[in-house]
Amino acid sequence: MPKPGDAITEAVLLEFYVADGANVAEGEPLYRLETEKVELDIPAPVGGTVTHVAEAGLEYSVGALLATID
Amino acid sequence: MAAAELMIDLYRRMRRVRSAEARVLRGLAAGEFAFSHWPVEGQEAISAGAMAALGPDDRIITTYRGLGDVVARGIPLGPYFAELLGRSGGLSKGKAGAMGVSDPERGLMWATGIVGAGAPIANGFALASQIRGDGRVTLASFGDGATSIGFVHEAMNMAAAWSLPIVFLCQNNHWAEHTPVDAYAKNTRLSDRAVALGMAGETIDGKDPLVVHDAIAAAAARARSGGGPAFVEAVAYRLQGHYFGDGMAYVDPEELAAARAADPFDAFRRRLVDDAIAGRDILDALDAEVQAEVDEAIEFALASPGPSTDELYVDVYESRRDDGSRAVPAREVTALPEGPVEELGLVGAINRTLDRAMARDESIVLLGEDIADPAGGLFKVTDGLSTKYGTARVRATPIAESAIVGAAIGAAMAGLRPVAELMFMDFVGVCLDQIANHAAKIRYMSGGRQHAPMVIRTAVGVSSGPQHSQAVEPWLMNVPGLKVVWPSTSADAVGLLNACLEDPDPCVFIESMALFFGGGRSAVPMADFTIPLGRADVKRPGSDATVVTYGPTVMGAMAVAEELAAEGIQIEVVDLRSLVPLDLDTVLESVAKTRRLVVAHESPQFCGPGAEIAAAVGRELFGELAAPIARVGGAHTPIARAAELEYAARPNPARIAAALRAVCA
Repeated sequence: MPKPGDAITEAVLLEFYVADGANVAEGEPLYRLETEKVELDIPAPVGGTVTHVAEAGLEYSVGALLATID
Repeated sequence: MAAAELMIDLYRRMRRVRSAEARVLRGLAAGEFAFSHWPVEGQEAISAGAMAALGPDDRIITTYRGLGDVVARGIPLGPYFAELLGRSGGLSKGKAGAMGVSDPERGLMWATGIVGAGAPIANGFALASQIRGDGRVTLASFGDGATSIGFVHEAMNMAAAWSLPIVFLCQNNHWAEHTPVDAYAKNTRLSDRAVALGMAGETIDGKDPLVVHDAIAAAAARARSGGGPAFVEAVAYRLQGHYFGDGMAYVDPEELAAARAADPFDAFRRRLVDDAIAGRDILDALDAEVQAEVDEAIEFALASPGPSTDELYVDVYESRRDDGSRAVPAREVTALPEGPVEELGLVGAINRTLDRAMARDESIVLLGEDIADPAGGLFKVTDGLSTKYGTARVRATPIAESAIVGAAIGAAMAGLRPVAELMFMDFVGVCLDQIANHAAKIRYMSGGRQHAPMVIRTAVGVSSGPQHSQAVEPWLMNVPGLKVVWPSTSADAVGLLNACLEDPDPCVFIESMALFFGGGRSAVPMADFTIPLGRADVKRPGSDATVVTYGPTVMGAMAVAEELAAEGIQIEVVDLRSLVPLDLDTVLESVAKTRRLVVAHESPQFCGPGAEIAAAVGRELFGELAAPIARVGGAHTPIARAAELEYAARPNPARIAAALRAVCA
């Protein structure tokens, strides 16, 4: 979970745009998060096969692992 | 007013200014009395023309070189002179002197000794008029020297952006104290600055009162009808020094002699006679009448005694506090209301409180950068409020903190209840003059005739580096007239903000970014409630040692208390909640019981609030203490961006725990 704002300590993972086990290209929207300030799409930092670690709809602390891309 | 009648009126105003100043200068020269005086000789036509152009309900903000504006406005000379002399019969009971003359009942709202600082405050009066639609115009009068300072630029930009009903009157007397216009400005046509900021600007002959009258009347009429502000540069020449005693060695003698030969007062008097507006006999009679008024006023002032020293602490706050900051002794229990609760971070709690307060109190207006929707504030504190209450009451401002606080001050003086937001507390430094020299001193400098009840909300950042993470509450605690409040929980924030919104004095309300969202999420009663200022809260009872703290450090202290309880050490956590007023009674009660004290706060320990508290406890409980008082304050360093250094600089739980173990050892 990134830190989209200095005051943000946690955010909700709203939804994954890429299914578990599917491929994503670098820069494509990977998931959407919601803080008390904003909703924000987060792009895939690299291309590869996505493995979900976190569950959509739950809140995670900044720094939590949400998914891996291999 | 018929033309001839207006000319006589202008003459009378100029005559009163000239005669009043002549009497002052004579008394100063003779040693009859002594005070600082900043002459206006040569500028009488500007004050007379401007004041004659305004209506009785219009408002004026002037400066320390204000004799012309004050007298031309028709302020009673006796109380005015008594104020200059620092006497009890003065307009402000002798507390302000020449630099701070005001007479709100006659529309002279404020004068300032800080160059240019009146302009942002004047905007606040104009803002109040605009919101209420009361048809009043505010005139901000200042000298040419003030056009160099940021206050005036900020104020003019805000006034233009918001089309405020205000007239900026620049009295260009050729001298910024001892420095001529062409030595401090490249573009000496000062009215060009108005054009740059998008408002009407003109340069006029300030030696002709009729020209000034017509220009100000036109500007005021336009401003009154929604046409926006104007900047009028009236050019004259100061015929005396910067102050009484200034030998004017810096002035070319020929230039000065020429200016004196063209004395606007003499010229206007000749004109009345030459144009058959008034005969010499009529003017002589008027002169004598004015002279008698001046002489009588000086007698009144000289006969007025100095104020009793009982006045010392009067008008600092609405309630007298003889030892500066301690809470009034009344002590009631301030339990939170029973009933259902909701989980809110600090942002949610403050948003809810502002929302409910704005719904019940139409005088509340919000001012700050980005606070209107859709932005709703950098941290969403004001999210939805402009949509609900309109952008007249929820104003996104220019990035100009002095203009923001100044507008809040003027609006408060005009009867609104402004809440100004300073995005980060570090920005207090940007506008400290408006806070410390103005907001805090309105009540005192007006002798209790005016006050500026307002709330300044500001955030202490975390992880935001050296210029966005500082706690500077000791700066503000050291300013008599301010109240300083710092909640540690969302529920306390609701109750304390409600108290600030009803308080008769200016309050600085500090918000911890660490508590904004999830970090501060905690139970807040659904019902609305108020927590009186000056009531500390025992957040956790204990018998072995007391931690006195406030703000986000309370959370750390609570965690430490929990940790030490497991070791059998019972810590009492006292949350001060407000720093001014300071509830020393609760502190003393706690330490009398535990006999051990640790004071913790984010601001630097050196000269911090902990020193004040330690001194008070040391004095009151000398001989009772079982251990030396310990302080855990911020390091005397900037707050670094690096997390490791920030943690080390803050009064972190490890440091608090170590201090507590030491005093309990």
